[in-house]
Amino acid sequence: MNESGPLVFVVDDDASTRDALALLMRSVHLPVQEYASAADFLSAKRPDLPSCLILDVRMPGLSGLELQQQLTAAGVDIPVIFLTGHADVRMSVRAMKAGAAEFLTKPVGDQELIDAVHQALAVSRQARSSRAEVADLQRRFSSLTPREKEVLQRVIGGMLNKQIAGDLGLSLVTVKLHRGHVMQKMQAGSVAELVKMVQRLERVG
Amino acid sequence: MSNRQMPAFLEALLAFIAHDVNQPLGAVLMTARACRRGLATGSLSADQVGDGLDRIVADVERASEMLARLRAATGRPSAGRVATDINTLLQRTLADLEDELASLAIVPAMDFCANLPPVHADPLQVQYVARTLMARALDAMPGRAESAQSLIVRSRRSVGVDEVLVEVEDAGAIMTASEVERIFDPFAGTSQGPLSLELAVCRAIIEDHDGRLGAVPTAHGSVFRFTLPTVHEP
Repeated sequence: MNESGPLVFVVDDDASTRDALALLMRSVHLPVQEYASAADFLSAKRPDLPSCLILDVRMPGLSGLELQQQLTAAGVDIPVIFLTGHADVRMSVRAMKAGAAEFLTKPVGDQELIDAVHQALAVSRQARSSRAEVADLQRRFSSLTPREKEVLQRVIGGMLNKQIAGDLGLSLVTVKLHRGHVMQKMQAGSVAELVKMVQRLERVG
Repeated sequence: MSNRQMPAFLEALLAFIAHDVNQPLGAVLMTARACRRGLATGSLSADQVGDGLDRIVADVERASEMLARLRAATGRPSAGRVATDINTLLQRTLADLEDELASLAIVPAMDFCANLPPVHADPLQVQYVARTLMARALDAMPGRAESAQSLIVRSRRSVGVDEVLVEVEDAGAIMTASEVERIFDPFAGTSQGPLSLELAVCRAIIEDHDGRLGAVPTAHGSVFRFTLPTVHEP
């Protein structure tokens, strides 16, 4: 997939901390966008790139945890690295359960944070390419005719061409023809591969 | 300060240090490391490193200002507890604030109850409380139209109890009940008011005097009130 980026978002109400975080990211050649509040981040037009979010847990207005919930609710899939002023076990458990990538206690070591960011960006890239693959599979699947879909279901169910022909009331030649189209449109090299593709589509609903 | 008042006060102190002192120091550390990295790898321009250094200077200054505030708030003089006339004390406190009141063009309303019994209190500490509450009220008011500004200082005798009630009312920023509550909660997030530490000290002082300090919102701003026990008649 051809894409540029990555991009690191920093959301912190303290201007000094925010600027320090941004400078640290720039010092390792990572582009940054800074926001002073969760609301600013939510309402901002954000480029669609592999990205991660560095977030202060405690902020006035919408807190870091609330922002995480809203992002999840809005279907925004972005790894979140939480920063907290003091270790709060209960809060960190809540954040990790809600899918936080990391939960770091201030003062955060620079290398520790840089490592966490690189890891979160890798997760984001992975998620994006996986989403792109699924979207591609869905495109291929939807290009099948209703008849081809019927054949596909029976092929992956382990039925032989003869059985499929009998089941659908078609000639053997026609079944072979449909089957060829299915393999071609789905770009599947084997039945095993086709099975995996369909399973993947079923997993995402 | 007695031991039983220490936890709440210590909490406020710790929150202040964690937020107002540690935060700038943490930013300094990270900025310095970023600059160092940027210089070593050439990832930051000279301008970016220069801005970083300016930031470091400003943050260190901010941290040392905070430490000075901490010293001022915790190193209060004490005069020992004596029979104190609260109205005189409030008048003196208002007189000390004359310049600030004049610069804001605020004429305070003194709504004092005559013939109040004396309170058993440390006058220097209580004056610190009164001054902090009035300073907070003034802090809340700039930016409002002059006609809307007002400061009311009230003294009353509590009904049915041997105590005196003092109120400092402002027509400043309108707050919700939960915002008012949070003023006294040192861990309520990073949105602590500019006088969070000082207010925590005030509450510790008043509670140490067996009184109470609280605040409630009004239609125009808020009212901070504290009580002090009166001198027991022998």
